[in-house]
Amino acid sequence: MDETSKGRRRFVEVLIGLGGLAAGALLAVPGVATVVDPLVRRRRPSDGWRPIADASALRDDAPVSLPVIGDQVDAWTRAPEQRLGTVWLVRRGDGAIDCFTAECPHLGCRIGYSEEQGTFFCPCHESSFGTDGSVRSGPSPRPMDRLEARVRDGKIEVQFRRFRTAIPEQKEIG
Amino acid sequence: MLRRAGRFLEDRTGLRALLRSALDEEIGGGARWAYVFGSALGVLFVVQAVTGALLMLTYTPSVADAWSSVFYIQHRVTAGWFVRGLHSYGAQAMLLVAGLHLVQVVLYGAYKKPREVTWWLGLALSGLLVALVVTGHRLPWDQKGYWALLVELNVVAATPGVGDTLHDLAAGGSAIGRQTLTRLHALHVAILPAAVILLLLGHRALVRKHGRTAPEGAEPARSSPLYPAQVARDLLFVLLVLGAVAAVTAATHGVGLDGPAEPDRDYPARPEWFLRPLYELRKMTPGPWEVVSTIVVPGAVAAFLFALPLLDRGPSRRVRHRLVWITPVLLVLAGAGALGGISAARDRADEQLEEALSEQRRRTERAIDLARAGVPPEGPVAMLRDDPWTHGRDVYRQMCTSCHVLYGEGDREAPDHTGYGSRRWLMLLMHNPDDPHFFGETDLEEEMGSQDELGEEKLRGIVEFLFALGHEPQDPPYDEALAARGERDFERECMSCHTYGDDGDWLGNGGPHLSGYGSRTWIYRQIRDPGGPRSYGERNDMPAFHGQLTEHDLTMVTAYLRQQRFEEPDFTVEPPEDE
Repeated sequence: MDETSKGRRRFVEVLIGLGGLAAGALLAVPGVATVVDPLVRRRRPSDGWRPIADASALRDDAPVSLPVIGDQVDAWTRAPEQRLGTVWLVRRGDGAIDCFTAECPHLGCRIGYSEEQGTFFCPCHESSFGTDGSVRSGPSPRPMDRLEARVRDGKIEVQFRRFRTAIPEQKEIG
Repeated sequence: MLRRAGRFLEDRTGLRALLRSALDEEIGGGARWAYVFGSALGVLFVVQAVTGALLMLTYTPSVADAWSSVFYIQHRVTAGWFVRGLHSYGAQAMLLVAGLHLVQVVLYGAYKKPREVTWWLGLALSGLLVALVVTGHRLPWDQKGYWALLVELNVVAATPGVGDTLHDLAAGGSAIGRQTLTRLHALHVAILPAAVILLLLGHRALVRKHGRTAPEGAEPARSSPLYPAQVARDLLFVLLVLGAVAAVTAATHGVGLDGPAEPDRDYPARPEWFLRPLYELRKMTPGPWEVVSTIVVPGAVAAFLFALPLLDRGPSRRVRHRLVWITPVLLVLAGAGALGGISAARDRADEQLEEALSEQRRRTERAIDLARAGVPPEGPVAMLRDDPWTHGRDVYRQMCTSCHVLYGEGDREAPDHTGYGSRRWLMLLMHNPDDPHFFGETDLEEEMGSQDELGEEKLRGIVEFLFALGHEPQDPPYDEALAARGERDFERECMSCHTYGDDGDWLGNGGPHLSGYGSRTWIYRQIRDPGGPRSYGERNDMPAFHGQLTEHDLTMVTAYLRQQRFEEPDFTVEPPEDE
């Protein structure tokens, strides 16, 4: 093969390589963009006080669980008055209200309350918590997540938030 | 004629030659039962593809429709339950066969040079198989799958550094939602199967290239072609596995379907049997040690398997020369089996778990009953939320059992609601209102007293009259003549305390206003505002639930309670004390 044909062959090879890359990129760029869309679309956590019930719903002898109601936006849907989560309200001896989300800080299952033992309890991996939210036993890496709560005009209001599970520190998610 | 057509095709495609070359594959050392596992996995994969495609004819990957479409496959589509059973049990059988395949390859030393890449492709295929089974189990969007998925996504999210990103990519957002299911579905029916097909082609091509690994010392002269000796063994084993899968499917009438996913309700999430060992391990590693069970242990096992052909480089393939490499593999399998056994035993001994599961079974049965009549387009969760027997019962159990008793559950501080408003319940009330099943534990004790002195005849009439007060058009008819007689006796005997009709808010002489007693309106008002002028007024001792319950909750619990008028009390009362 003489020098000219070698050079010509080299040129065609480069063209094939570039063409292949272009065809690949045509798929890869929009492909990656579509796949990572949820990362781009992360919503900021919503602030604000949400009324959840009358103050008369509180009990002195046991924690009370109440739903948090709000608009739920999920991809192409917006549903009004959905249950966004559940909170546990505990009236302390000094009259102040402790509010915890019922989402287990271990792996996100719903925390229940055992009247017999007087502890919060997660049915998935058997973490249990005191009524002050502290870990009593089980694998939970941190205490139950505390939410801000107050009573205004006879209504209990909370700031509902969600947190990343399974890590020792509290990290809010959208 | 046929032969000419055959020759025509052969000249143009070379199909027959291709088939012959496939069937003539030389098996060094001769056909063996030990070689059946790989071929069986290939055939089982085809079964999965076919049954999977059949399920896709009905299955709908939408949060609102997924459960209902699986219900439809399971309970309506002709042979749907059987196809679904083959698909699900078949997948689990593949996991077992893949395990056998792995053990066989390890024992034979078949991963050794030059077959390292064959081994790695096999490992990757096992990983894809597990991913397919896991994603598949989540698609019905039932309680079991939903809560297992929630936990799994949170495990992923806890991966140091990249956890959040991985979680959001898998979940299609920062929380489980519609795009979680669409992503799972895309993985299950397109992306993972495509990857399996690619790797499987590579794996199979390499098996052909390098030949089977006969045990050391096998007679090389005994080599035989694939067909028919090996094909016969492969087929027999495949039939055995498929037969077992079909038998299990028939015996259990297919795979069960749990109730629809209800993110609102707690549920004791448990993974599938093959992930049980990791689950149990996770419970044993508290707090900061969690990465040991989620990343370190599975990562170490995977790394060891991957590195096996690089570590075990000695010339011998005999088991006794390779014990140092074979033992860890068998130990891991034995350890996983033991952990799985411990986990199952612990769950069996867990009463709280059994209680939660039996409650869920009740709910599942109810959901399936309701679905038989048709699921509303909003989906099964809306269906359950609008069902008094489900949602009304939830509200009752949460809000009412701290004072009332129903079906023996609750604290006896206020009237028993079993059979509430039924003729028998009313008769027992007349007999002894101060019994602990009625007002005996309340402030209303000794307010009314036994009405036995009126005599059986009059009481029967008054009871029928009271029962008729709560009558609604869709109810079965009551005895009108008896009720009319009862009305006259009621006016004579009871109106010094009670009233009925359109007497405004008159509380009588302290007894509740009985117009519409036992109707939806009456019960609703009683729950919403029991201290109101048409209920118990100042004598009321029950908390008011307006503001604590939404309108919908109130409506549901009212409808649930009203059903009791068509049931019977499960209790009797003490004879009244003499005055």
